[in-house]
Amino acid sequence: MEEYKLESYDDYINFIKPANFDEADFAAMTKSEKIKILKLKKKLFNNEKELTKEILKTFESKRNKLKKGKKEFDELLSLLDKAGIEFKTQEFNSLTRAEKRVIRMDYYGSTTKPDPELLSDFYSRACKNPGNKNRYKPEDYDLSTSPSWLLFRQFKNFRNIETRVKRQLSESGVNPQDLKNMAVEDYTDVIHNQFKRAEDDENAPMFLGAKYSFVKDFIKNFEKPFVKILEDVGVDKRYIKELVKNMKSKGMSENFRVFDENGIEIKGPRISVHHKIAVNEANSKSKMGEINLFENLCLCIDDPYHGKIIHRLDKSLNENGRLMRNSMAFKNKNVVFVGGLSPIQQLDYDYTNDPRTKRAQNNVFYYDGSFITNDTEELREKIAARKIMENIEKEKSDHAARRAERFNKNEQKPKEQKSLAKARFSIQSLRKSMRRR
Amino acid sequence: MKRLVHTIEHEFENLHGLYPNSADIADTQRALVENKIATIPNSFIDFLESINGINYKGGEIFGINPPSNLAGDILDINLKQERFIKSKYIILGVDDFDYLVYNQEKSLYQIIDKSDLEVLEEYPEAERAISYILKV
Repeated sequence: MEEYKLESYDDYINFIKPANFDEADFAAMTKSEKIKILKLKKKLFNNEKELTKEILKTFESKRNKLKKGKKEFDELLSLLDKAGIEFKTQEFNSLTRAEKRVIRMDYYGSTTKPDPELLSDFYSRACKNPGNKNRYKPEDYDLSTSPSWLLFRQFKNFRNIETRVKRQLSESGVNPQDLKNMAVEDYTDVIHNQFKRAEDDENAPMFLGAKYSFVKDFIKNFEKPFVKILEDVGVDKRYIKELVKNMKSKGMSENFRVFDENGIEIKGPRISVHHKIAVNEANSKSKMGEINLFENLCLCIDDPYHGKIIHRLDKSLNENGRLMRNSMAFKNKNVVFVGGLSPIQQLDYDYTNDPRTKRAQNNVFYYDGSFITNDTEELREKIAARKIMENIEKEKSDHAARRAERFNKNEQKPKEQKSLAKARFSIQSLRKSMRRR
Repeated sequence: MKRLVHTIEHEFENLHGLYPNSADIADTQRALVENKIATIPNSFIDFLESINGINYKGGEIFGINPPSNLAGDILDINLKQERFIKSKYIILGVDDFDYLVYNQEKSLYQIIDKSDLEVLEEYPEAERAISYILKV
């Protein structure tokens, strides 16, 4: 029988990574190789436990001293580095409330009814007038004329429901001319009315949200290695079975309970979805449509990795008028599951090689307040052109402001001073002309 | 509130044994007062008396000493939290983006962005606030 040559440390790690682990290969190994593998695995698990413990201890014991530039902070950064986590401070644009609403709706695939006080007057009036119902046809509505709808349109899910949105606009009797003035909250109300299942429903499901479709896709592709990691970290097999069942059927990693034969609840870790680039860090508005794509999502064991570690240093700061944000991120950009800080407790997948990513990217539309496109080149060109125009406009307005300032100064001078200055000027010009002669 | 509870019971299996007893409620309220934390509003207790903490669709409503690992404990979470003024706010739930808090000064339930603490929604009653978090 052929003897496997697993010489380097990386060979071992790569071999025992759950996604790569092949039980048949393992069974075919010599006894000494098997022992080596198992010993290494144990060592990696023990190292991970120690590292996690140390990071959590540092957060707790030095909570008040953890300041950038201090020795304790550097020590923490070094621990995080070992755990494959980087700390960063970067400038960001705060999202508007409307943008936050649209991102949440795309992520969950549902919406609650908006507060009636947030609705535009013209929209509320139109809805309250029964005579308006079906006054206009769905095809009368050109959603591309509506800046607020362009925010929604960045997400494929919302583009897919445009027919129903138009139908509801028609039913509500909104004047097509008013689309340009519709607010995001008005559209939320339109969508809620269209998708609610009963008259008094608070929440209306629109489509399978990004969160649930990611969980379904994940379990479809990674069930075996995912289960293996959970088993390796000691999760009860009955809990894992129920978890996987829920993930497959509902795209949910929560809302289930498992009991043993004595009726005692079997407890297990919660698995949550993490945005690798935080929603509020979608630095440029033009990237908003990408925030809920699969490549930006991963699953994490909640306690401690998601809840107590990765978001621990999140903080927004105002530094000399610039909005900055502290945050942490996994160095492995392709990570799709974090079951621990060791590489053998994580799964990764390179979405850049996935044909679905290309399709998804083509389906993301970029909106920059005035135009919308799914062509990144065009987006860059338009942003550059707009910047030039903005600079020209700024120069013009600065110039006008300087002129106005000079004019005001002049106006503020007392009358006597003005006439004296005028007299001096005419004497000077008279002298000059005499000299010339 | 009945409608909300009914919907959750319909969609979620195995909710049995999740009710707090009145002694637990009184103890928790007392402990909150002793620790200068805003107390749990009565309209929220109405919900907890039917469903004492739940984790659903990624949204979590905390409970009073909940018997399951479905949800966190209101007292524990509020003792540890450092983001809100404890005497004014009590955190009652959370989802992937937002906190559900009760603002005692304003007598309002508020949905607050976890990231920048912006108030996104305000509700006078518990039912709509819970619906927002649990997506039901």
